[in-house]
Amino acid sequence: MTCEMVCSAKHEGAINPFQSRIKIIKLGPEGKGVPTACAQCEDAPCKAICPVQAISRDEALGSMTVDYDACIGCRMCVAACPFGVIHFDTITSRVIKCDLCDGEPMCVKFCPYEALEYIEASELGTDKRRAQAGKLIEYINRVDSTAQH
Amino acid sequence: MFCWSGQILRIDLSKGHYAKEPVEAYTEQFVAGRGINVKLVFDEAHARISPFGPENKLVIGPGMLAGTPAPAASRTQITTVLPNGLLNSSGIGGFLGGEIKHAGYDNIVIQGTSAEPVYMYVDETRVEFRDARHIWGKNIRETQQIIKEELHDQDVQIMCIGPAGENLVSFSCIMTGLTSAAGHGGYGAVMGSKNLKAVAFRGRKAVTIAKLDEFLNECLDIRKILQESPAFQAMITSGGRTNAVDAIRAGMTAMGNFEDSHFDKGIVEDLEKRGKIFWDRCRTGSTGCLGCPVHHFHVFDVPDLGTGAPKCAAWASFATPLWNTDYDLMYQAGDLCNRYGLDFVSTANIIGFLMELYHKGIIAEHDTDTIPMKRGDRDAILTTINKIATQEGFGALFKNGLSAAAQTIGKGAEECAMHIKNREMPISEMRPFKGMALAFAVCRDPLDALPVPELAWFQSKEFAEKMAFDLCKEKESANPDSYKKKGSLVAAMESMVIVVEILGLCKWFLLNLTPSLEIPSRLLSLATGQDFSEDTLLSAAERARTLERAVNVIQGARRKDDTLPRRLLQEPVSGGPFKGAALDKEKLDKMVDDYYTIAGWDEYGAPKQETFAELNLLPEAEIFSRRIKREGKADA
Repeated sequence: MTCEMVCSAKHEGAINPFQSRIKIIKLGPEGKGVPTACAQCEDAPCKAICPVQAISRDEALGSMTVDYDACIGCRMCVAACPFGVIHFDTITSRVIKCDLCDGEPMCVKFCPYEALEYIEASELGTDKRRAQAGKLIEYINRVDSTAQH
Repeated sequence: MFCWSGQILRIDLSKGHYAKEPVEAYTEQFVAGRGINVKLVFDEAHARISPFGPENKLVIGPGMLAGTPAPAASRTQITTVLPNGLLNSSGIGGFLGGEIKHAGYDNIVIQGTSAEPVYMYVDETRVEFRDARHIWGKNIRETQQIIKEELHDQDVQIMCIGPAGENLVSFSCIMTGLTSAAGHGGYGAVMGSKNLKAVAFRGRKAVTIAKLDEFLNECLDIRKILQESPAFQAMITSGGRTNAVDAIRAGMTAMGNFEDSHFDKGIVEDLEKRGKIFWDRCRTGSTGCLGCPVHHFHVFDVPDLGTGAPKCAAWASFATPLWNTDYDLMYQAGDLCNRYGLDFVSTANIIGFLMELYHKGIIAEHDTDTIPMKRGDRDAILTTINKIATQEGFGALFKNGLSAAAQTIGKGAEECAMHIKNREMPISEMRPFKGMALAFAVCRDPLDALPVPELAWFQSKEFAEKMAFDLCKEKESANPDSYKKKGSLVAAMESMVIVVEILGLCKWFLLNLTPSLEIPSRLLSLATGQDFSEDTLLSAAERARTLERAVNVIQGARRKDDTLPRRLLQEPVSGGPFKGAALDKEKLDKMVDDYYTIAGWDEYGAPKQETFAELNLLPEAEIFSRRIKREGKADA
């Protein structure tokens, strides 16, 4: 997938989906793609389990990042993550995860179908609220026009 | 080396051995993909190659840009001597190209024959010969599912054959994923003859890029430009289906078995209406190939038939050539072919042929296992597909293709057999398009050289003339009605297509939108860090064309085979927008002469010694000269 190609390119200097932080899971015979990447959990199990506190929040981006100087490569974080989105890269022998690039995620930039968006977390529900409000107005208008008859 | 993976893998199925060699010796002159494939075959084509013999090589070459985010850089070329005895190449999409590059190989040469059904597993650390006896007989989908489960890896990319290829049907395909195929020509049969059921790839090696940031940004910019074109919008919403209907409306599609190109407005309206209903009712989404922004394999879920994604050719081949406007039937026929691994184009041609024979009383029900081959009949279409794939009943008649079957049937059937060099023709009506007629007559694969300017002529004469000029410096070659300068046009288009197949870019995307090599040249230069001019790419393409023909001369290709079925040369179009359009045999021959001259071949179609010299192929010239002396000079 394009996202896997550019993610690995940015982080490793060469194209290798195996080293991508974002992984696309394809399901069904038609291969419907589901992107999976670090959820940057507020109460991250990877951070909690790390014996050397190598994982911490980057305050500016909001991402959970790995301090490779501290990391001992025990892979407990990989075991703890409920989503399987922190990976052990056997080529570089280190754990890798999405770090939101430098605030301009490559995957979002390159996705040909705009399947990925990078938006303010507080805006996650905005589109859904608007859609629901629209439905309510539609219903009210219908009831009103029926009542008039 | 940037961008190339660096290695060629050689697999010997007879001995159960494999070996690796560096690709470097071939990259300067042949670059990658189809270019190197052909060179690898030429070098070892010491004697005439038998399609099903162990000496026939199946060469797999991912395009140069496969595995990079260049738009639509997903293609792999498969090169081999086909059942008709001639060397040819087909593209195949899906996700194979990238995976092969990540497994560490630029080209894979498979030769020999396995004693038992076998499949290969190839990754960056291993090459394994694995028992395929338990998958022999399985269809395209089941095969891939079983292999993925066996290897405990849902992400392997697999190219495989179905029952049709196992049964050596001469128009069976090699397929990957849901619907991608090395189709027309019989690649599946060659693989089947080697007892090779599948090749599974998985790779964890990086593809390196010289100027990475610039290259990535270039990919993004190009993709955005291509996405803005109107042709792009059409392809993503209903691509394939509306293209097919537009072609019929424009009089560019055969009605029946080229029996009557009569344009019937009622049929077009019927198809448009039914097509839309089928799409709305059954379409669940789209899928496509690696890195492609178009993704125009529309996926359907049809009640009682399940999920499938027959590609564009299904909506053309199984429609008017079979007197059919029922989209459920087109879907089912296409999906069935996809499961068996059968080429749509050839299969539809043969069914149309049977329908014509039945209509004319040359055959009757008892000739086709009591199923009447009535025009548009559901039973006729589906039963024929089933029986051909499984080689049962009257299906066995078509194992070696249309031409052989027509000879067996006799009674005037040969007159109805629409094939070129023993390959079933696609249903493109080319009598009004003289350049297309030439492409069909000379090219190993007519779609190799679809004269795009001729097709653009009716939208805009100026645009078409400019395109033709950019391609071959001959403005007047854009006029479909003219026989002039078509050699230049077809040769130029063919070169472009070969370049695209060296690079692994999807031709539909790139060529339909902008037939120019400027973009590929720029991308390749950034990726490799070497200067890849358009001329460098065109030279590589000409070398591939020259060596392919050199092999084919030894394989028996002759000037007299570069022609069209008698019906198309003798009868004019009987109705529709191009009523009266006809082909003049003498003028066609003159166009063939022109093409030979431009390609640098002599009057018998053999590449001249000067041509080899101009392309810096002196060792190859010497080899070819010796082979000709041994086999006898190519004659008319």
